Amino acid sequence: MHVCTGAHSPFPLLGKQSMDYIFDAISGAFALIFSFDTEVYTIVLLSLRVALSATVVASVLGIPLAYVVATREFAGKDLLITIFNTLMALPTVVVGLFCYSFLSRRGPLGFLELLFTPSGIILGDVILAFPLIVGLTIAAVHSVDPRAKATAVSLGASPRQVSVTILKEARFGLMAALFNGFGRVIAEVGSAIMLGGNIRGYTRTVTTAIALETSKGEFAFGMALGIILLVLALMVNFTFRRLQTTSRR
Amino acid sequence: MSLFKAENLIFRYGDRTVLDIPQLVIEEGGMVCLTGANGSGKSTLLHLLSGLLQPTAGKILYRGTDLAQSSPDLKERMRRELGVCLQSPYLFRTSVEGNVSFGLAVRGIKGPDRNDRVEKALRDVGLKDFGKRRYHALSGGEIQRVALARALALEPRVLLLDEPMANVDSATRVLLERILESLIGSGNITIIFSTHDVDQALRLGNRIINLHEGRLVESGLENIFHGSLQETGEDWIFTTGLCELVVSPGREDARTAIIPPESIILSRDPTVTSARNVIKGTVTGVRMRNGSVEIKVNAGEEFTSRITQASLEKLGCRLGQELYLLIKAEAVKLF
Repeated sequence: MHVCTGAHSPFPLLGKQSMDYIFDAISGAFALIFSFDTEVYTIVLLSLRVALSATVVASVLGIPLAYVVATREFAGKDLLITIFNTLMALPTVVVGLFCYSFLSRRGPLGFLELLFTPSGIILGDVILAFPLIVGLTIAAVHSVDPRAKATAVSLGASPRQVSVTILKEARFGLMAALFNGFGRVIAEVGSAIMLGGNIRGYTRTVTTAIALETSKGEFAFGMALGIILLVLALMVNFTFRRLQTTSRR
Repeated sequence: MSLFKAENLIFRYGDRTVLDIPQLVIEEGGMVCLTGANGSGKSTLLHLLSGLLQPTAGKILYRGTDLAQSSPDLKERMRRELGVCLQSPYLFRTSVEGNVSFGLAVRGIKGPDRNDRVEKALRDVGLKDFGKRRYHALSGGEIQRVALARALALEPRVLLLDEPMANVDSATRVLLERILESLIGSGNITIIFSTHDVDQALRLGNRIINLHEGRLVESGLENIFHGSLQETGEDWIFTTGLCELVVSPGREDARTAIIPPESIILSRDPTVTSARNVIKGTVTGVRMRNGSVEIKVNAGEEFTSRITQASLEKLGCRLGQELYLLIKAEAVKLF
């Protein structure tokens, strides 16, 4: 039986062997990262592809809808906004379950054969990112000074040109919506594992691989993917900060 | 054909009527000032003329065409003859150049033509080297000038300016006045601007349209008195505290009395007259204005009378002279 003494450990509650276990995992992770392990990078690239596709689709559908909701007055508008705000926190497994029931062979969309394919994961991710992008875009459009619209109209802009102008004025908030949408889908695991099935080399994403490899005891592999995910998150945030500074200049 | 013609124009915010103008004609050319106190309806009228607001009732004809009823293409084409500068202008979150070129960009004007027009507009407002500045690196006066340049870059036939000098320092105000005057001097443009500065309107305007509580006031800006209305015996008296005027019965809650300068007759003697108001006063100013003579008489309040050159010669009036003002009760408009 392993006894944790904590005598010479910088972490008093952890024994030397348990710390070694973590350090071994981290060094193993870096070895995998810098040896450009094919499997690790296949997984990372699929995750990026899936997350980017889902963000693009959710944005193309969500931004125009959000603009209409934000700029028009209609019955039930407040209720609709509340629904979108609630759906921002939609549990990923619920989306997974919902989509699974539609995409499984016996489901109404079974003929599309999207279950356990990257497209299936993208579909689930679109549903996850969509309310987030819509909700944040509505807030971004609301934050634009009302004089912007009157100014654009007074300078002869057509309704379409006015919309583009308002969205440009809201670009900082729009970027926040896109980056948040991307962040949500690249980090989610529940929907991806249910709709993708975690098939090696085909539908295995960073998060599903971490879950699987860790459960198998492949701690270094899971750690390597975890570190890459964190680096990706950092890069996304750096890019966001940079764009934010530029847009404010 | 008149530039603008408003017929039975009514605009309401909810239940409140903020503008009620049975008829208004604005001819092309020169500088037209819309004056009146805050809340008098100046901005609303400008917004209606520029098409940013639609009348609740009645119509506005631009060069004989009712924009509200015309086809989208025609509406767009006519709207594009107008340059509009809103009160407390909004600058888009880009450079000065980006702001000034906005209207040109939405009209599909590109390349050297666009650059030349942006450059010229910035030069005209004295901001020649400001093109690359960002929207947030400008003072209040500079923002106002960028907004003016943005409208001028469109080479509009009509320039509508809502209180262009409301939030600027005196140096910028003088500069803006000069810019507007030089624009008028260069011809082929009509400038309609709102202001609550009476002197400015008198200085710049070829025509003054005075609004009071959403209605047109016949007079220019003179003889506007604040006070209260009382019924004494058979007469209704409007009292300002410094002067009393017999008026026709009107709204009991009237707080403002306005007398058109043309309705005040000047006389050396308190002649037997049908006018209910015969008030003695002293001449404090005589000046020529737009071909007529404006005489200011202090009779507790300062009254302005407008007479012809021939009448002045007949009256032989001079500063400090005592005169009688003859004003019919019905000439006093109550609001």
